[in-house]
Amino acid sequence: MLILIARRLVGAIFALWGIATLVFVLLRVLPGDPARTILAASGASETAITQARQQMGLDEALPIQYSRYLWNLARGDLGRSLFSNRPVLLTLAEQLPSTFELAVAALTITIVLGLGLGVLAALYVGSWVDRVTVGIAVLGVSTPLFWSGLLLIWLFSLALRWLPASGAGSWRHLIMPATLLGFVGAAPLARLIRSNLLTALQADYITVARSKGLPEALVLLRHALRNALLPSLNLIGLQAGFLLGGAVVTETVFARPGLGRVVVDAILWKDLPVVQGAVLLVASTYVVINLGVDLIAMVLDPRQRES
Amino acid sequence: MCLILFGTAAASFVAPYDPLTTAPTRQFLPPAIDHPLGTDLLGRDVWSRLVWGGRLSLIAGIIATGLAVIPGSLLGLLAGYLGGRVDSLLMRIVDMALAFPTLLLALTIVSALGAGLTSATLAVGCASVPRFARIVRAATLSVRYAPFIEAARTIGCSPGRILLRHIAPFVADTVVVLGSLELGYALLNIGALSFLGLGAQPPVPEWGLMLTESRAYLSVAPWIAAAPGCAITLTVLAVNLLGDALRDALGLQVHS
Amino acid sequence: MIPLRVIWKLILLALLTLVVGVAGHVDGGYLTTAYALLVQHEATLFYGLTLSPSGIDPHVNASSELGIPLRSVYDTLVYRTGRSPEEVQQFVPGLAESWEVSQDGLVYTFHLRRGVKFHDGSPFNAAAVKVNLERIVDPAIKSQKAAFLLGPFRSVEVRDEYTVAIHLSAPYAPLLDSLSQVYLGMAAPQSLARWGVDYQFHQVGTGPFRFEEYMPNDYLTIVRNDAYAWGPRIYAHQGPAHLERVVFRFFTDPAGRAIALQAGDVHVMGEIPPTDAKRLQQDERFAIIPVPIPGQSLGLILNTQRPPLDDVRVRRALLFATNREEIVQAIFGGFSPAATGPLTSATFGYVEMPATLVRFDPTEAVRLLEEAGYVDIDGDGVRERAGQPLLLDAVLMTWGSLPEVAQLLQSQWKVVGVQLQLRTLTYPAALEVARTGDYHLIPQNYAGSDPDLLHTYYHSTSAFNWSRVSDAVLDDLLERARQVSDPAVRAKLYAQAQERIMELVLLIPIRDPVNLNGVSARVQGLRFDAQGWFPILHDVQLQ
Repeated sequence: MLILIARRLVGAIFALWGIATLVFVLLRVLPGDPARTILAASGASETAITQARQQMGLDEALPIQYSRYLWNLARGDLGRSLFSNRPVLLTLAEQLPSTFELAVAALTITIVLGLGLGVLAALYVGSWVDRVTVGIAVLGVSTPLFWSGLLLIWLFSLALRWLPASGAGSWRHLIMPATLLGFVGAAPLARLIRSNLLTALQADYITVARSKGLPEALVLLRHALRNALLPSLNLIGLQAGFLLGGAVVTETVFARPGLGRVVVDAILWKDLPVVQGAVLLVASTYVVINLGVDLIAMVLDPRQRES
Repeated sequence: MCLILFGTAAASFVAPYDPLTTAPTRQFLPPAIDHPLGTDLLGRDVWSRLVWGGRLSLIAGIIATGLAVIPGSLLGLLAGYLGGRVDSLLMRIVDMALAFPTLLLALTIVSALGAGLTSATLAVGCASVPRFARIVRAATLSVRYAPFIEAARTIGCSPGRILLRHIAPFVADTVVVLGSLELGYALLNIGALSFLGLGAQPPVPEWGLMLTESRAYLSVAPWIAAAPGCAITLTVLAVNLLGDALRDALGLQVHS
Repeated sequence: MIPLRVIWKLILLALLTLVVGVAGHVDGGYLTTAYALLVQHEATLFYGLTLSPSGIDPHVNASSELGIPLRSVYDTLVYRTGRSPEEVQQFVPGLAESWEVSQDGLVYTFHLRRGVKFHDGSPFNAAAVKVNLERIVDPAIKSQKAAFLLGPFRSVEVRDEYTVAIHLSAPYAPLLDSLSQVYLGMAAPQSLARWGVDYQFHQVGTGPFRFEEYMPNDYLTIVRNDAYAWGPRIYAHQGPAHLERVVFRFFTDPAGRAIALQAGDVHVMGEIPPTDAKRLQQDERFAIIPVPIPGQSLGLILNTQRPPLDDVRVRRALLFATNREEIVQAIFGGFSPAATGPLTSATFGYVEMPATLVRFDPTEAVRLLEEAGYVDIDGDGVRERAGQPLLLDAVLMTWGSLPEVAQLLQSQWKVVGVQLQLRTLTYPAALEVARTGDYHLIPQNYAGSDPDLLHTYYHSTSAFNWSRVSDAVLDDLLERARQVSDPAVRAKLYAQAQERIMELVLLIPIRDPVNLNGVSARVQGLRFDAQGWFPILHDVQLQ
């Protein structure tokens, strides 16, 4: 068991290294010269640009750049933003709480809603409840966030005046963006839980439970749900990555601070250190979450411990 | 779904106006007989733009899906069938790529290629390859050790033949179902890129771009935003339901 | 089989994460200021900005958004009165009580106000002016605007504690105007030295408000400077400001701006889209304050070195094929005048171009194109010459409704047989394209109260000469105009320069930018300074 966990950990570290390399490669392949980009706005001369390239170490051979990059990463130094000249770590740390709060709230809504809708649909499989819940779930993934977000704002901020239209800082600011994001994630989860439940319901032990005369709802919740949950756990891990993608759009629509905006701006402006830092942060969060999910699954499911 | 496909395929017959012709004096006309969905800021017929845009959006979505499904499936099949070193190497890379949120990966690719519908389509497709590879690999694995494959091997079928004749058809069901779902995601992601200014370029009547352009006029002319908004939702909904129906019809159980 | 308690644990875990999330944001400093204050302080003004600038050091960065908050943090040596072209040449004392200009126009001597203190407690004096100006021209800080505003700056000399002289290498008439701008605001030398590259997050000036905190993408707050007793004459009252605090927030999505104002998230919102502005005008709870921005008109610069635009007849044909009125009416709702030349009508030295130079005349456009040899031979609606179709490539950016403007241009030019292709780029990408010259049309919109900005964009030696023009007549006019001190003579020279620019057809002017500020009825006394973009927050009251 411990060896397995250790192996997973080593794997995660390798994954992080691979991600770091992937980021490095991806960003070097991008056309455009960051030195030129920052200096163009001040109308600098060619010599000034060459100097800047030297300063930024962009004129060195790629292997040297790569090894310095890894070395800096290992020391926790993500460099400074090309535009604001601030340490990348600080820039990201500032925006993190807001995105974290959004992600956590959204994930909670995803789990609660996904679980609820999935169970409901499975309980009443084939009936109108099933169809309606599946319909709601599908609707969640069918609407572009930048459209449904605006509609929500119109309804709740302008027409009903219940919630603030923009910004972050209190739970009231969180309701709309988190619900929106959570809803999108809930759809696949609900479907997965529904189908897993239906499979589990055909298993022998369920028949046994039923034959003991237990009420259907109890059979479902106590026996079937346990087995249906496990595969869903992996999906929840996968959702984490999606959340940040969704946060990019959500944060723009709700004028919220956060990583999503920072990453988009950095990509658009070719602020390489910030892109690098942010992508690494997101990717490592993902790796860590999935490691956690794997570990939980291992603890819960003896079969996975053996394999 | 059929209706959408038919309508957009026959765009030139269904659309009464040219989607690009502007008439600024006729801006923000509410829906009426001559303009079934009204006109937009530049006086263009929203219905015509919607129909032509549907064609573009669907083609872009289908291409993006193809770009994700075909290489993704091949990779997944290979990894799943060959197993061992190749499998673990491929899956390691795929896992790393999966750590990047699809939209972010697409954003990075677009910013390298330059904004536009073509590059957005490419980016959205490429960004989904790893996800597909993973799913198809899982499906391949589930039949890899099935008795009939073993049997085929023992009677001396070549690996290529086994892959194509025995495994591929089995996996194809999964691919078709998930591919149809993927189409929905592709439509949404291409739209999101348009919203961020990196997708289709004006005056192209792509749905995502139409929606982005019209959001600002929601208060004066809600129909301009409602049209592409509902169109996207309905299409993705239709595609999703189609996927579900396929799944039920094929008796599949798909785990992602 | 999973035991039931595991399921409970999972649910508990979800709840726990929620709690942690909530707790995390309660003590995670990022919300402590802005929203807590909304409840506590009635005298807090919330102000919506339209984009989160990539940098906000006024000596370094160039955006107008940075000046909106920082105009109230910094004082300048002089101030400029009024906004109409008749008054603009009047400069009034600020941190400088009086000044003289030498006969040859090369030395400006300023007598500084005594008793002025920076927000960090250090005194304002001649040495501080020297530190500031030398910082701006230091190539290491890569100034994007301030250094250009200083023109032929040579050195700065401290005569005594409160007397400072600026030496120029050539006469430079716009200097006073430059010194009245926030980009040349006076920062505390002590804090500049202390914070170095992080100064933009710790700005210290002498103005009516202190810089408190800046959280990129989130908010920027300034608080009242209670010691403020040196306000310039352009302020309606002396002594400290009325407002206690101003919180600026960023609204990049135009569709959300009017909504945020109506929902009460902000009291003032800049750049309201025209359709929303019309709607808000009907609502008595809000007012729209339209502010014409002096400087360049919004327009598309023509690359005169890339065929077919190297032929002035083709350029003029495009100009005549452009129906500016139609564009302005449709897209800007008639809120802003159609531009006729490179400067807006709110700018000193502006002259309206005669119809001989600028008019909507598609027939003449067609004649010019045919004269230049462009005929539609294959009947596809696009003219061609020697097999080359008349196909133009326009670079766009997302601001200023440029995509909409360009789409109308596309249809207007299609009528005369010109095909226009559009591509939207980010600002850095557009700058790169501007450098390589790989475009036919590129937008330009630069605000400024002195017409010398024409020198920056149309002089053959300028780094921003995007029309790639090299015209001896124009160069001479622009050089002389920046050296002559007599405003009447300058105005005449700039009139000639504007005509020359339109004779050569270096740009397609579209409209005079007008900032539509949406303002809650609770806000009293909001005015804007000579630059147009920047509010005078000192006099604002909140009811």
